[in-house]
Amino acid sequence: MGILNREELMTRMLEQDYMKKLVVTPLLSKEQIGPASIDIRLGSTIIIPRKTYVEKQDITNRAAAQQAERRLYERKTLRLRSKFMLHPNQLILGGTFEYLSLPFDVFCMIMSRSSWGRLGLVVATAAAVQPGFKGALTLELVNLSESPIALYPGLPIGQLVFINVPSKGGEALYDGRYSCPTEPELPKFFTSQSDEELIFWGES
Amino acid sequence: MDFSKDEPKAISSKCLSLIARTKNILSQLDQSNFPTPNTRSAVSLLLEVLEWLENPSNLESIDPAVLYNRLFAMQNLIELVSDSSSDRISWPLVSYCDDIWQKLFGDDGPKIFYSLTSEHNYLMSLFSNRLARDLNGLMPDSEIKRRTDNNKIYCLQLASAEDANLQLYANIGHEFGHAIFDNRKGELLKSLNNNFGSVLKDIYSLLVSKESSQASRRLTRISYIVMSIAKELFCDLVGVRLMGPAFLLSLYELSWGQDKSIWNIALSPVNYQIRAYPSFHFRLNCLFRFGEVDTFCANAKKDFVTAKCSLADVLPDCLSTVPRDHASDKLVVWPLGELDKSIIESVLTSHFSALKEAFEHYLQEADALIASWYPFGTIAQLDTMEIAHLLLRLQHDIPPNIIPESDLLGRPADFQAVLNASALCRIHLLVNKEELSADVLAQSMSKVERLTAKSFEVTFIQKRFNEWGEDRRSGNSE
Repeated sequence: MGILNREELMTRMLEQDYMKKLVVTPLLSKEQIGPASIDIRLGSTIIIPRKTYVEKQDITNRAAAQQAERRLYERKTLRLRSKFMLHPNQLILGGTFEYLSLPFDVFCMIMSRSSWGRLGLVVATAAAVQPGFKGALTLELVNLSESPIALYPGLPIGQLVFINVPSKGGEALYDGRYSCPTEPELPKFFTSQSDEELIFWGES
Repeated sequence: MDFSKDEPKAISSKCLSLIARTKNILSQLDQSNFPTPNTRSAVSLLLEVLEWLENPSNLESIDPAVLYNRLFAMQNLIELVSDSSSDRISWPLVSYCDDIWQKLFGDDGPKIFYSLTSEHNYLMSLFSNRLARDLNGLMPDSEIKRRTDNNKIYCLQLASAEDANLQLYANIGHEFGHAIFDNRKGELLKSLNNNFGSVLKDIYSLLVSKESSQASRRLTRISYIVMSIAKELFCDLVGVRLMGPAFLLSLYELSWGQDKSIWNIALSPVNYQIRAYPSFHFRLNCLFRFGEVDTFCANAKKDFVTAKCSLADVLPDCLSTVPRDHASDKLVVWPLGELDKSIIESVLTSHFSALKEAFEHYLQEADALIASWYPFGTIAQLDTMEIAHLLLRLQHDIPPNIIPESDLLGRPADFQAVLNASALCRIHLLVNKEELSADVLAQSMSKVERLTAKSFEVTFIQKRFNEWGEDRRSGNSE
């Protein structure tokens, strides 16, 4: 088990067999591949949480959780070179420009870029991507600074670190609730069996 | 208070209020949300006209009642620009279409913006002409012409219920055909005269033998029918030339559930409003013949095997089975109460074979004209090997965005290649639906839609990025 370096990343990406191939597409330049990471960019679609009449976000209440999905968010598509101003303390969900396909023996972590971090932009909180995942990643973007930050689709905004996971073949494939997303995804509660226990933890 | 005197003043006040409200709606539109920048031109044109109308010196010479009615009619145009939003219209897809439009009409030609319709159809109209009609009698002709003649703006309304089915957007190619027909009418009508002169002469003789006093009038109506059908066929030809077999598949899909063997002719008291449509069988057959779809199928069969695409056995054959036998086609003239219905129906039916043949000759000439007007850059140059690679990616749940090359970056796939790979994948899923439950089919279709939409987004941006990089390297950019 170890972090894949530049050479290993390139070998994995040039693999012809799609089952074994590491896909991060598209790469706009080779410089996106660093010594042990790949830079990722912001995609065109963002989800903006809004203040609404939903009284609270309570994930243990199935009906409330599913209503919140519809009432709490606004989806917006940004054209090339159009910007979104992320205000202080604002949270939005953004998708990665790149689409990923991880083979069965590669795990991946999303990291912020230090330059953005110093501006006050936190890029990801749900940082782990399981082997076998296919899709664009959802980034939780929060502005912790004192002034608005302009975000444009295509901006390099984070980086991925890939870790080799010893595996005999396909047994650890991702089979989660987010299947081949190409845009940022809203939180999905009560879509898998394991979420049923949330009811137990909530108010009776 | 005297209503006979005050009523016009009151209507004027309502007009001013409606103008202010409409201007407010237009200026509140989020311009960054327009799918392409051309919607701005349409909004500017509307705002300019409204400002002219509210000017007191112009307002005093206008009948307030007429103005009020026209302002109401204009709300349809306001709705078109309001619905022009990237929330519902894929901006990368229509930006690609804008690139094609630019190649067809150049920088100084007409512009186009995109909106929605609730109909199961795609509607192309000349927005600036519709505005000119609403202004007729309100504004001096010179003022109308100054604003609309040199500022032609088309509006293409896309079927809103199908906004996720991007493959069906290949129909945009057909709609572009309408704009080409309008702008190249002279040459196309000449070709029509050449090809239909003889058959129309025969039809005229028959009409004279039946009722000579009505023969000329009926022949004029038949000429309009021929022109309407010829226009539809020409637009189909443009559709398949611009979009490839994806257009054929989208046209075929539009025909589902309808009788594909009927030529529908809707007469109207006003000749230019006569609408006539050839049968889907005839249209699809013409696309195979003149759109080189057979050649595409033959190449695909070979290249899909080489690329080890598992759909090699299914897809090219599936495309070849699109129904196109028009031997038992029928002509139907509407409406039922129309006095000329029977005679026009019987005369056209008796010359059906000759008419079909003339349409085919006309399409052959039209195809040569298209090639001469647009010698490069617009006709879809589809490489079936590339499409096979994109299909492979789709089969592995990866967006069909890159043509694999030896280096890491690959080459962003062309718009038409993505569209066609995706359209083939869609038809494969649909025709094999017996094997899938409705739920699984819906999920699979939705996945292909998402991957296609992602491909349009990333290839469009990647191409622009690469162009910028090349300009920078050659010192043409900051």
